[in-house]
Amino acid sequence: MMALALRRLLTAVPTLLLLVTLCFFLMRLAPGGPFDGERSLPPAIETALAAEYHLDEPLPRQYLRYLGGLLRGDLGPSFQYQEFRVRQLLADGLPVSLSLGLWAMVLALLLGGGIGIVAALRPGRALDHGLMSLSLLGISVPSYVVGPLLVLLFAVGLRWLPAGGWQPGRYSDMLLPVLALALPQIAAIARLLRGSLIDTLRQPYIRTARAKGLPETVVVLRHALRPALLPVLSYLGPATAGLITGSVVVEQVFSLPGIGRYFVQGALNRDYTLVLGVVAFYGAMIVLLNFLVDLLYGLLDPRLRQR
Amino acid sequence: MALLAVEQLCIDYPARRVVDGLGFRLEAGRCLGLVGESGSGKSQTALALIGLLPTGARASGSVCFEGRELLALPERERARLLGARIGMVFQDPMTSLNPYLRIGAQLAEVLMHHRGLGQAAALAESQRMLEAVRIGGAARRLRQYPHELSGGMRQRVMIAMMLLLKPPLLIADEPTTALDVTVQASILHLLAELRRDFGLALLMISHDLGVIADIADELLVLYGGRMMERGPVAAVLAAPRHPYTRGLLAARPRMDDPLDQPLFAIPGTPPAGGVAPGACGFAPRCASADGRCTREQPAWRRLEPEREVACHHAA
Repeated sequence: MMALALRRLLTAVPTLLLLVTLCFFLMRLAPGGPFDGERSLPPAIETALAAEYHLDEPLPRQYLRYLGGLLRGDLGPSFQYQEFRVRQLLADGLPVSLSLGLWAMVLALLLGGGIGIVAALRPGRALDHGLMSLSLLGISVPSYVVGPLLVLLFAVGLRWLPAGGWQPGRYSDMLLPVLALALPQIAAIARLLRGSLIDTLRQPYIRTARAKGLPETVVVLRHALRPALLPVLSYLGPATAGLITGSVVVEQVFSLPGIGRYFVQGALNRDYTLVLGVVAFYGAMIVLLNFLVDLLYGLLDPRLRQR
Repeated sequence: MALLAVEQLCIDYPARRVVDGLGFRLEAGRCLGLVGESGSGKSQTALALIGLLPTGARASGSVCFEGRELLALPERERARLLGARIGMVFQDPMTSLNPYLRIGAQLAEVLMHHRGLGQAAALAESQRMLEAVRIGGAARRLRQYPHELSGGMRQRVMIAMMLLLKPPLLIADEPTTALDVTVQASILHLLAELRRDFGLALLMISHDLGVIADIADELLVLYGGRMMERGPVAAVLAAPRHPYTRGLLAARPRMDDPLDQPLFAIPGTPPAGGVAPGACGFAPRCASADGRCTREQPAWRRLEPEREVACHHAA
């Protein structure tokens, strides 16, 4: 099991390389450059800037230079925040995105899991239909609609919570963004778990558990839940990576200083290295979390352990 | 009073009736074999007895176990009987044990739930039961997962699990069908032994007359959800009265059959969607069927003290 997971970790290296390569060249295809402003700079300054950031070199050379830096763990200088390295900017935004993402995931697991189980116990009944319609709504309404709606309701209307901003340690700042991040995940997890739990409850070994005279709660929680969680688990890897890398939209709506906001600003400013850095970080997160999911799979399914 | 008395049992799905007017009695310590092709309603009958029919199916009639009407029993009380007073062994041991839980956990939970034993005591008792079903290295097996055991071993585990509380009745639905022939024999042998040691009544469901002949005292032949013939195993096998039973017997391959002759098969196919009311269910495939067989459903009638049959032509 460990060997299998490690092998998958290794095969992720070329994938990451491809990701960075594609992103590097796509950025360069986009019109404009990092130092184009409304007023054009004097040619001498432009040349000096290009030389300082090696933008005057041929593109393949720049690419190799970037890869070389990446190997040493250096994501390069930011073009926009000129006194910072990209690594510093990421480290700066990470605590915000990470805590938002993790809280959202915890909330999504608890609520989504609960809803999924309740719906699966009486499939086809009114409660199931109601919950599933709600969750469909949760999946289909995008966060740039949910976010402002939450602000309107809780910040503008009821005045319970702040509309945005961020001070470390102030939990009221986190509530709305966490909710906005969690809602689609709650819905997705609920639907996934419902489906796989209904499937599991039809398995012969569930019939055996019932034939042993076990109460329904034991049948569901002890015999059915673990196998039903496996499909949910493979969804959780990439989903968590997305959440903790920072939601572009939610961080923008609530003006939070997370990674997602750097990504948007980086893309608008053609801050090549900053965008590349966020993409590479996101890719690495997906790889890492999928690795964790692989390990958890082994923990949950004894049949995978010896391999 | 019989341990189990079934009367006029009918099982209906929204569009069709899969079991029609089943009735039999099973005395304590005896073994009744339910025989029939696939689709004859034998597995449905087993599920109806323990109240685990799939949603959408409805059972009517009467199932009386130890003097209590099972079909009318609230779910909670029926659950109290299952595992404790009625054991059920399913056909496929590969899928009938939970692959995610250790053998020991799956056994012990029965004792912990029904008898309130602590985990250590339950595991010790489980180990004794594994030994009783002749599983070697029982202590080690408790810590293993189902996939680490062979099919025959898993079926032994299944049997042990259902006998932990020494129920007076064990229902076995094709317990050997999914197993190798040599393993089949050893499982049947084990069931016969447990019957003797525990005074167990056995409701044995099989499509295989050979299996039933080995273990059962009495035989009930089903076709299309209806009863065709009932009687002591030896007597029925020696002189079957129903054309369907005769067909089943003739269809068994024998060692002394000439090799160049094709195996006998009953012509036609078993009914897929239940059988038509107002006629003999077997008439479409019966060589001796006449006009009466398609107009009138044969009554269930007694030929001799222990022989009953549903056929216009049986004498």
